[in-house]
Amino acid sequence: MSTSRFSPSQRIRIGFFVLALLFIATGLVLLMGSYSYDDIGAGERLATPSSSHLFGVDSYGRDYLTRVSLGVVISLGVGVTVSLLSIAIGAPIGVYSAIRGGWLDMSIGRILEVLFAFPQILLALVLITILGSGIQTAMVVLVIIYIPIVVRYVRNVALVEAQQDYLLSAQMYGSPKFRQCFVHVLPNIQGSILVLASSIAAFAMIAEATLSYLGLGVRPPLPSLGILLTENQGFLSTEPRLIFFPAAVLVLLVISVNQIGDALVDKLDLKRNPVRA
Amino acid sequence: MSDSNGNGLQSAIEVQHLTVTYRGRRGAPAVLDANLEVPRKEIVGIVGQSGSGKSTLGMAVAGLLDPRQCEVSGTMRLGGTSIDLGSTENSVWETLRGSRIGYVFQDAQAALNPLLTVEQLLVQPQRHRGVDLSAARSIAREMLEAVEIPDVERRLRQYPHELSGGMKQRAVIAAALIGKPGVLIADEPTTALDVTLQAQIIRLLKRLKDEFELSIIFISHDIDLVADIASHIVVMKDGVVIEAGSADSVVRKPSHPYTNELIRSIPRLEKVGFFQDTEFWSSRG
Amino acid sequence: MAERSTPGISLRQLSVDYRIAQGIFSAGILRAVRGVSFDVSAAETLALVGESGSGKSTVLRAISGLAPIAGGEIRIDGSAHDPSLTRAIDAGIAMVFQNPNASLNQRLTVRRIISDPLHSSGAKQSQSSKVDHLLDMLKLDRDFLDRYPFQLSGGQKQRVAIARALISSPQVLLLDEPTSALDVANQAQVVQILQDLKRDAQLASIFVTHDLPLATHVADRVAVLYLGSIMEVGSQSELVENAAHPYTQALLRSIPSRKIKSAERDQNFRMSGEIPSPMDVKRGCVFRSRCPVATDVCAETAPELTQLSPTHSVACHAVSIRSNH
Repeated sequence: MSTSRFSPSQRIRIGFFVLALLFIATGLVLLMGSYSYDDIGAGERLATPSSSHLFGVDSYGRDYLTRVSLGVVISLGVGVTVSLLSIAIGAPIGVYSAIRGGWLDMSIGRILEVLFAFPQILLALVLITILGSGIQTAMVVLVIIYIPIVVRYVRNVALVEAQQDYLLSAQMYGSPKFRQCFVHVLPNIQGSILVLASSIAAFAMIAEATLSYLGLGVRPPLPSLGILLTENQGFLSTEPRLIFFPAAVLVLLVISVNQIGDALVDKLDLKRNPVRA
Repeated sequence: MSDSNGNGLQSAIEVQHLTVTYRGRRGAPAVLDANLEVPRKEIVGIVGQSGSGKSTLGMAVAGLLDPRQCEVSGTMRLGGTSIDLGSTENSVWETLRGSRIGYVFQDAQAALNPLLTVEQLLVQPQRHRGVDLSAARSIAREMLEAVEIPDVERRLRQYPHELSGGMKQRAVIAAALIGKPGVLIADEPTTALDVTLQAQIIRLLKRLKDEFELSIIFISHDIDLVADIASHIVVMKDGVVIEAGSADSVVRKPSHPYTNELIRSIPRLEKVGFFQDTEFWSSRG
Repeated sequence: MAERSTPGISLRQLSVDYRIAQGIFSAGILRAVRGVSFDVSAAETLALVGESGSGKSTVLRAISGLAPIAGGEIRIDGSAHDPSLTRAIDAGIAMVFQNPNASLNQRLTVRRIISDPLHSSGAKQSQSSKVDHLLDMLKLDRDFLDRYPFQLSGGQKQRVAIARALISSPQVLLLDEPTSALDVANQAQVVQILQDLKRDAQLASIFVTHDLPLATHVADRVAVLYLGSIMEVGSQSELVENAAHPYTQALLRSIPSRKIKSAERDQNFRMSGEIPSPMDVKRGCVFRSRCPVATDVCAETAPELTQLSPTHSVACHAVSIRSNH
């Protein structure tokens, strides 16, 4: 339960507002800006921020604002795509496992345990040797890592929802399991799934930053926020703005998405515990 | 104001112009301009359906509403003291609650701290008020006897989960009365109980009223129950007091059509017989 | 018990046991329902009344397959029914639950809620006429069909739940405290609908409630349960005027009355103590620990249901002894 002085609805609006601002800003920069992200002749190397280069120029002579903006788009793109894919695959499995129960549920449970025990970095490295590095590989890695998390979470939520009378009633009038999952249970746990989605998006953005920090994932000269942090880490003491801008934007992104998710949790809570007169 | 004996005594508690609005919620207030008077050593029943504001009224009178969530206005006279229901500090309420006003919640389970034994439950509030340990202990013992809990020594050492439903409710009543308040507010104290247990608790409350010279505000949705226990009835609907009067007159000759409907829609044992005598009503019509 | 001509549903010695963990290593058996027997004919309503732990809801759950049966048998229209093998809908059983907010899928329209059982049994032909007919029977407006549960009052929601139960044309209708979660006005609405239904439909209904006066309004006969056993069964007038079992009498005395203040009633038997745990009663009559007229035989053997009239039976040694004289 939060103690924020803003109501959950307000926090959701603030979160979306910040994200919208970021979208508009990066959109403007990318569509109307005069520099390309990999144009090394854009300006004098390491130039400080000026009217023609709002974030200055990086060590290769590229306009930094453009690079950060593209980084935002790529990071957000990765976060959202990974979240959507892992949920689209994991949620139906989780719900079906909960409703079917029995042998199927137990087997899936055991498989999940094995997957959780598997070290994720190792998985990432294996996949990268097979598929090569790049954004797509990074996303595949992340989706595979998050699917078990989604399955377990959704299964647990579905199990609780399945205790509700409307589902007992459906069992009694012989509703087929498939129908129970997708007509009855899934629509009613949408809220919890939305919350999960926002958490995974936030995790994925940071994970992508970590992966590219390790040299996996997005390949230069394409900028992701993680790449920007990696390639400019040497300049932390001399040109801190090169670290500050991508870090600040990443933090802003993650906090907004988290606030939205957090507020959704509170909203769900309010629906379950309405204040009585 | 006079009590049922016709003596000119001060009321135990008088509420005037109480209005409660939940912040951030558009629409009607939870309680609108409610007035209430409880004569000494009498029981006043507040009857209403859910959403009528009866519980909100009870909580307002005990200072249990969160000022961050509600806006409260109105005054209360408690014995000789005047209290502003909207602006009184929590610290003032804390001294009032326990020593002047006792509160019994509907859900005994939720009101009992699972980590405290029955003895601790009864002794701690007294220690707060400076009573020494051995005196507090013996008062706790007396209280448990007063609420008809058998085998007191054993019960004192037990935790809430070891008590049955009826025992829990009695323990909660004991805790509410341990500070010897003059007013007890009971919010649906028997609603979750079986009917035979409910009958026992009602008998207990009537006895305690006489033994401790209490005034009781009894909140319930069950008008028959309230008519049984209370001498005065207040009927609430949508936050407004729509009828108030002696229990007899409200129930036999209700002046408001809602009260009339309320009374008529309750299924009762129909036939004339040993137990009940029915009058002007049946289930239909 | 006298056999009825075409029994809708019959129970004989139905028992439900639950295994309860006691301590770390041992488990005890909790007998939630002990040897319950009754008949309900088509077009008849039997009410099961009891306080907590009486097993009244468990009986319904056993019939509908939601609770495991430890012993006894169920017959519907003469043929044996095993809930673990046959789905409720295939056996002609439908149920209405206590809380309409939990028993209706909040995300579906009323039309979809009511017709969902038909999808499940594969019947694809015209459902809308059936749905319309049910709406009329339950006095619901046609434009409710496109609304969602949150737009309906408690009484309307329960009527939707009843419509959903009736759409599969069941022979047996089970109602588990259908009005307990409703306020007085909505409850009155639902009670009237049920009374009308009783007149018009050929259903065998079992109505579970803790509210004895309510039971006398909706049922032809009322069975009083205590700790899993039937104490007394009788028609409305038989119970109210001639209650034979001490527990029934105590229940009747506990009901708040506007006419007789409790002080007068209390001159007579006081119901003291509380309902014991079902695990504490191993032999004999389940009520003996609180019974004012219990004797030694009550601690030894559980009394059988003895007939006082074709519709009135009591399980009490004291009564049996009296009626033998």
